[in-house]
Amino acid sequence: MKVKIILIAWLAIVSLTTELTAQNKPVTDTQQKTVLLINTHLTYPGWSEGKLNASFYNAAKNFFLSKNYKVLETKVENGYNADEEVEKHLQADIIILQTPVNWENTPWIYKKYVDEVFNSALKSKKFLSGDGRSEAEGFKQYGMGGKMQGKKFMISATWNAPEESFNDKKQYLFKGKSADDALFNVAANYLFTGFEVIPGYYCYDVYHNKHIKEDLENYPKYLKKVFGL
Amino acid sequence: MNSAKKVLLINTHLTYPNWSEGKLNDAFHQKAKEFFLSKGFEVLETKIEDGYNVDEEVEKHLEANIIILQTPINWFGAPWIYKKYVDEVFNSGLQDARFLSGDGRTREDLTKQYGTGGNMQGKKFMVCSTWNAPKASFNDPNQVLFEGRSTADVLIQITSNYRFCAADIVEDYNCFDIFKDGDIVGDLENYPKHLEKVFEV
Repeated sequence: MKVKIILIAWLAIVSLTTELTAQNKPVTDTQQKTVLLINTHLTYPGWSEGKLNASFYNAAKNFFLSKNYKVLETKVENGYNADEEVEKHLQADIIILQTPVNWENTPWIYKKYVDEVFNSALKSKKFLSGDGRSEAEGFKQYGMGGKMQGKKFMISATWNAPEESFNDKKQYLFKGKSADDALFNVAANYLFTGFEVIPGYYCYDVYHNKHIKEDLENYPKYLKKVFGL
Repeated sequence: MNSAKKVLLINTHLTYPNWSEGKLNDAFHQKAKEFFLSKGFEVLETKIEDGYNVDEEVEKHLEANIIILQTPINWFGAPWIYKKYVDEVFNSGLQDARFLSGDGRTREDLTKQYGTGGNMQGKKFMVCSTWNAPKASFNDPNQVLFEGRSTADVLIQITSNYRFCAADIVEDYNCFDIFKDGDIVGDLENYPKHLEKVFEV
């Protein structure tokens, strides 16, 4: 009996203390935010070694560490477990894809990653309840069945294409489309699962190397601005 | 005297047992094959899932007057095996300058635009795709996902490689809402009419 009373009293004190401590702690400490950084560069020896994408990737990593974020990382080329990637997506508040543009899109290993990870999350209904149109989902529009509201997704990409080939109707290839339009297929999966998609950060015309240094320098400023940090 | 025109039919369906067996994409592939045979074309075929030789694929592209990609839409693009095919085949066509001579820009002529270095002039490329997405989700600014985009806007990830190599992109053909309310029978029936119209054969 005595032991029980002491235990209850002790529990009460502990829970009270925890509550007080929680109140005194700054919000940033109790709720550390998480970012998932995915680097999907694919190595072509002697042609594309991945240094530029690693530079942008590390700039983002250093930025989020300096903002006290927990940083989760995936290098697609080094292998991954699809179910673990689903969990990382669930933990993250922000997800950033670092990618070179190979044949107007991400390297093929990224689409393999997407097909595997999003299929897993579709079957387990962890990312989405469906495509939004079912009776259980309230007959909403196609693409409104996502469960990832409040999370943000962004692409950081390196292009051979020059900046002037976008957003100009007189240009032969993209006919006025933006770089975000060209990569819409990547963003669409995140929109479909309820993410907010932030406009991408792009380093253009990488083989002519005229402004890579500035683009790298300006990247943390861009992250600070778009994520309000 | 061998003046038969050639069409390359690429089927990039990826099998997921008991979920997606590929029958629908195969049905569209066969429709296109019958159509082109009936028009006297020589038909070249590639089933990506069954494997391929990269250099042979480059050669098939060079021989073909028309190239058609048959694909299911998985996560808003072709299955991953297709991008692997593209990265391999187009890298090969880039390295030996058979698909293109460069990205079009030169030091000598600064007016030359990015994407005008292709060598596939006169060839035509088309996508035929099967979607879970309903037709109503496209071309309508009030739709939250595509925000007014067309199927061609979503498929730019695929067509831009052919445009980059100077092939003409013809209007895509789509079978929508295949798991629910789509009109699969009607879409299959109307496919040859679409081919007749866009290729003028």
